[in-house]
Amino acid sequence: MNLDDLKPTWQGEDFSGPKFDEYAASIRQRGRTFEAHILSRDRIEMVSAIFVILAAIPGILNGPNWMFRLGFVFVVVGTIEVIAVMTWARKKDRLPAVDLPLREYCDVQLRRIDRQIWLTERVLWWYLLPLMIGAPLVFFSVPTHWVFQGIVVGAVLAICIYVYRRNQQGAKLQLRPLRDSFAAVLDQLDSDAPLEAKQPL
Amino acid sequence: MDRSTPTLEQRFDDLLSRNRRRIGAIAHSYGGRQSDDLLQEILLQIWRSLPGLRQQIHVDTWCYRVALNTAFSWLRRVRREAITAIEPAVAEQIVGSDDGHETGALLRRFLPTLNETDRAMVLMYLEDISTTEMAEILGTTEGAIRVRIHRIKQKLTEWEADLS
Repeated sequence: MNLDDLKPTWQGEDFSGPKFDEYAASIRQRGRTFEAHILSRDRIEMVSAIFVILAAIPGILNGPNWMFRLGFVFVVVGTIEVIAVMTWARKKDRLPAVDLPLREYCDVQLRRIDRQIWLTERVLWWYLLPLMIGAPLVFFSVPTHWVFQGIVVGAVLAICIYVYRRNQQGAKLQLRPLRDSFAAVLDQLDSDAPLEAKQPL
Repeated sequence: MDRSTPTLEQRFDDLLSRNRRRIGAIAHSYGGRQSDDLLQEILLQIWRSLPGLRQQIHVDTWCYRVALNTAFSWLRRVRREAITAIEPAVAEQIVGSDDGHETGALLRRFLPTLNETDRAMVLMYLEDISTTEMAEILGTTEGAIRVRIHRIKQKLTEWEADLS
């Protein structure tokens, strides 16, 4: 069998399938709404963060004691930090233009995934820690039964631990294999480059 | 708008009319049983990228690049569903004529033995895409493409010999 022998047969086949035109028409219609969906998701996250900040400011200004106020300061600072990090990450981690040459495309993907791994593995520091400090401060400062305080703080810590573990698992089970698969494509593309001069056709 | 300037829809249709077979071949080769999903994803990416397409570049090469990059990313997204090899449907379609029967069956078994980039090269080679365009699509040199194609042909010969 020779690859050249297969060319006429291959080129004689119509691979586009019966639904090609139907899909093309559908893309024409929903292409623009898809973009709008992404934008609205970003806006929802931003509005939620601003809501948390606005809700916490009265706690800082009118809190009954310093511990209560300090707790809310942690929450506000943490939320601002989350907004800043996520805005930075979105700006940096835009999907690569899909019309790049494959090597460049994989290279950009690799850098993007590396940043995501870095952020995901350090989620404790930039996402969870301010909440883990702020929430207990607020609840321990309120004069109520210690059992109630313990339950609420325990619940906050349990949620944080859950989020932390999910992020670690995500980095290990999803992002790292994804990274390795793009790195493998680059390796495949690079593997013949040194042989170019040695084995010309 | 100037009447002579084609709209996005017209450019999209024009591009698809010229490249539908190639796009379909990539969707079939990398999408397997879910080739319809991949086909839709490729069409969506072409639609989204089209406004950024510069007039001076080779449009069909650009289209192939978009389709191939989309297929590579799509494969990773659905990897859990274990679509890693070319599906029999592709090769069965190749087995259209009498003289294509034997070679088509062999190709069906051979293609899964190739890695992703080698498979992409075989697809482009079968499409008669020039080494210059292949190098542009993959982001490598023409020399590297020629070496790789040569190796794939060698591998095919060895693989066939092992079979017999």
